[in-house]
Amino acid sequence: MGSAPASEPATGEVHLRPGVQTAVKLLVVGHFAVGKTTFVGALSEIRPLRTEEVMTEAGAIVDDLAGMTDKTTTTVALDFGRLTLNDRLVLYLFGTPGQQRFAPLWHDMTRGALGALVLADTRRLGHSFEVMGVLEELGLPYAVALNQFDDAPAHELDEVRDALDLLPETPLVRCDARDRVSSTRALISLVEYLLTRIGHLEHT
Amino acid sequence: MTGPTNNALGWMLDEVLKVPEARHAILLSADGMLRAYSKDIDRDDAERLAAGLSGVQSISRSTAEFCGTPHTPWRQTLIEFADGYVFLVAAGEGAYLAVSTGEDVDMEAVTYRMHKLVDRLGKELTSPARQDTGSPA
Ligand SMILES: Nc1nc2c(ncn2[C@@H]2O[C@H](COP(=O)(O)OP(=O)(O)O)[C@@H](O)[C@H]2O)c(=O)[nH]1
Ligand SMILES: [Mg+2]
Repeated sequence: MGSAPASEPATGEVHLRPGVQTAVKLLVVGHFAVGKTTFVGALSEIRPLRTEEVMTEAGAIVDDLAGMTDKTTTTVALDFGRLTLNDRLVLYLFGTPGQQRFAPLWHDMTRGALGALVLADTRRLGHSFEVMGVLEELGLPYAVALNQFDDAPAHELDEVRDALDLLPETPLVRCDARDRVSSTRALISLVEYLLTRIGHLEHT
Repeated sequence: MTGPTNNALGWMLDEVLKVPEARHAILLSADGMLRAYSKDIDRDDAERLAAGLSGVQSISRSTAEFCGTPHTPWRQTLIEFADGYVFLVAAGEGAYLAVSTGEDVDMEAVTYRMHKLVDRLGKELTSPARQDTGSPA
């Protein structure tokens, strides 16, 4: 981050120039039905942008609906919401459609993004690899948040970290995408991670 | 990273609203962030529209092959509603200009004005690629 004072150590805290609001674009990504739209909607302080369409049967064959009987719509373009974290940091959240057929839009949306929050579901952890792979290819740093579904098996975070083969520094947290406080906490762990990385880059 | 828009260019967008039937104008960067907005639109609404319009542009561009040649450059997207239109055009490298109008607008007059505005703003409209992000240049 060009505006951060170079003399400050990277402590993982949010260091920003006083009196100046910084806009940060973040992606909210993850496989189909992991809770991305719910997450952006719960967090946004403005009316969120939604592009939900009722799923057709042709789509449902492709989209994995196992265990998702109440999901009737799917995101066809993007979700968008804004969250002012404090008087210095405004987060712009862009949620992407999870399905592979939307990949070109997904790639365009990474433009200008500082990082991504990967939502994951312990019932289908394997579905997260594709998204994490794309982020790694693009060099976009990310944190992982386990969206806690009611009937999901409770795994220790260490086990999940192993199963997802995460780097030791990649933040891994739990959240409830329906809950504003819990979701905000997940985003803060991403933001702190991003600022720490930027700090490291500046000091090397 | 930059700050949220201070709307320094908003007054220039107001110019385009001189076309009869024109309603609002928004300038956005290709990454979906709001750059400027005309006077009668709320900032929160303008930010949401900027995000949505960047998606419109992306998806529009992805239909190039349907036009016959997959790499033909995108120029404009026109959206028609029961009571009006939204025009979306390129505004320099990495930026787009959108104008909404009523249904009886002179379409040629709007697009002419929009291109005039894009020309006038020239360099100011150019969104240089951010250098401080993890995404590819
Ligand atoms: N129990 C529970 N359900 C959730 C949670 N987050 C999302 N859901 C539900 O899961 C479904 C899929 O969520 P959605 O946000 O549409 O997923 P997306 O495809 O990733 O955008 C919806 O029916 C949500 O109501 C959660 O944390 N707990
Ligand atoms: Mg969705």
